Amino acid sequence: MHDQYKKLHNFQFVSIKFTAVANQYYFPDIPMLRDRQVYKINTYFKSTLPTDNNNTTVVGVNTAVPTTFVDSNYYLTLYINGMEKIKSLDMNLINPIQSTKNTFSNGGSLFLKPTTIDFSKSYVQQSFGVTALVPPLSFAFGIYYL
Amino acid sequence: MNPVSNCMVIEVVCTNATATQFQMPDVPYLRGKKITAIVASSASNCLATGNLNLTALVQNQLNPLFTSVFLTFANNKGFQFIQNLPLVELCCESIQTIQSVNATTSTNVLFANNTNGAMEINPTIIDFTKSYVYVPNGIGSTSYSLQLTIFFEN
Repeated sequence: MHDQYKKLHNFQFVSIKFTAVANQYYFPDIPMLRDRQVYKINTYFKSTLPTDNNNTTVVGVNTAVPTTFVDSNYYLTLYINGMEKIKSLDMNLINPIQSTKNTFSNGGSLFLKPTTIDFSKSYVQQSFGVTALVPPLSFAFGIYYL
Repeated sequence: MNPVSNCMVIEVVCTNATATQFQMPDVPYLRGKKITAIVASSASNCLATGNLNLTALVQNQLNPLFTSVFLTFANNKGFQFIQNLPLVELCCESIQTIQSVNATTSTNVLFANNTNGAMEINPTIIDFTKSYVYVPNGIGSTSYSLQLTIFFEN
């Protein structure tokens, strides 16, 4: 990885708030990021960021509601250059701030070759067969861009 | 992190029971200086802030709902180049004790925070008077101070 991308150039906090259970949760349109080159993405779970900037509870492990789902139930798909180039990425892998109560130990950021992401076609997917989420909740992301 | 050439500490006083946004102070000495890194002090390394002797503002010292804290920084052109950065991103110590994520218990959990050390910034002039701390849940009636160590180029 080029040293350039270890530094923070620009940062935008993004959350996907949802008020009803679904299989896919789409990002909102983010005009600020339409033409920006994104080079790094983090996600945050409740154990490190309890609420998003709209004061909505962030999904994560060990939350009171519900108590049984785990982080590994979430998968991120990013729409880049007309394709889902990042497809169903386990969000555990892009959570660099960790809690010992989580079931993982090797989270990190998603470093991208700087590229424009169509967020309006990108989404988070919940795997089947797990305890349903109890909204309102939000997925929280940190978007680093040039 | 690159070798340090200059650094100074600033504090952002947060002391209003109803406010959710706290402006950063004007720091004349840092006007025109390119900021290269920022580190936030937290409970495990800061019992009281150096300049104002207030309780350090960190997430676990807010209300039991485990409130989040966000930082926004504007550059010298007024552009918010950092928008709502979670405070935890700037805490570089390896272990941080915080309240349980489950509000129904009082168990503490340990955080292994990010291992990047200081949050390095592409050298940028920051207009602190247009930068602020945002606490969605509010601060409560206690006074806190957010202590930031600012590294900069001469």
